[in-house]
Amino acid sequence: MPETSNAILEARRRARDYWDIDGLPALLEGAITVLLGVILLPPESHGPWPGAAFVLWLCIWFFLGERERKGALDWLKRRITYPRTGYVAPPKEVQYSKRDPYTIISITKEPEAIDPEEPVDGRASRKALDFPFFSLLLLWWFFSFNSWLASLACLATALWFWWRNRKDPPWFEIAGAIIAAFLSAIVTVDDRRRFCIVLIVFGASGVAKGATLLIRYLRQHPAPQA
Amino acid sequence: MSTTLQELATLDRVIHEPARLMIMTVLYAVSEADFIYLQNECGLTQGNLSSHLARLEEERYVEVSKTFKGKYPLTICSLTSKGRKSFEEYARIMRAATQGPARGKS
Repeated sequence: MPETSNAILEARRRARDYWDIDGLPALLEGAITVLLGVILLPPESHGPWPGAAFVLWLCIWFFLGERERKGALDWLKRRITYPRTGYVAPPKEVQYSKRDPYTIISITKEPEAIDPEEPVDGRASRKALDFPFFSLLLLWWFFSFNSWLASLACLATALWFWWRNRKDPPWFEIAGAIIAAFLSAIVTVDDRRRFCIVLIVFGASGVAKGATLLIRYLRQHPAPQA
Repeated sequence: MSTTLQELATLDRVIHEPARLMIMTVLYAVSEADFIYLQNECGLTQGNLSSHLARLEEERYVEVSKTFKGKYPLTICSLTSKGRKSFEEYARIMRAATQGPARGKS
């Protein structure tokens, strides 16, 4: 029954897209990533990166973990989205049902197929930051990248973002990766500081994406009259 | 008359109405949604949606609960297990009736 299946799948897709329509998830995740980058930025004075920074990162991951982030997002949506365009249950892939190692970066785990009949398309996997990206950051953390290696890694990430989502490329993330590659090549700082700058740039691209979507959403849906 | 054809007579008329079919389809696709979301998705007026929801609630296909998300009041609608089964049965009959060599000869 393709017709009815399509109507159901379309309703599911719309509900899933609705979660991101206001830009709040991207904005929040971007802000957290920027915050992590700033916190991890090693002080000017000493050479080796403090191991405590990594512990701090883990703490922030824990405290800004799935429940808290979901709570913060729900708080924002209660004030901005639900009064304007209503509430629908969040899609499964953003319900934070499992703690994945890469949710530290974003709510970006590969969405599960919502229906066996549903073809996998670009929209189903348009979340850009994902496990390979997070793995790359971990590699970078433990095996310091020099400027060219870092630049290459960022460009490879941009290419990966584009390749995975060719139908609907995540332009903000791609732009963020390219800017990070450029900065990695030209800025003369130590490897660990470079890592933080890249993290901040990626976070900023998320904030920019979220803010753009939010402004568009607020223009399209003015506050309801009391 | 074939069994499949005869089965069409057993279609659930409560679900078969287009507006209610839209509501059931949306609620089948998501676990729960509020009134405003359903109104936007189905393109129904407030009164129309209310009356169709009341009909579905009367049939115990849909559960409507009023709650608050912070200060914002929500009218949350979700399918009951009876509603879900009825919708699946409706879909099964429609599928049986419409699948196959459906391309018309002109």
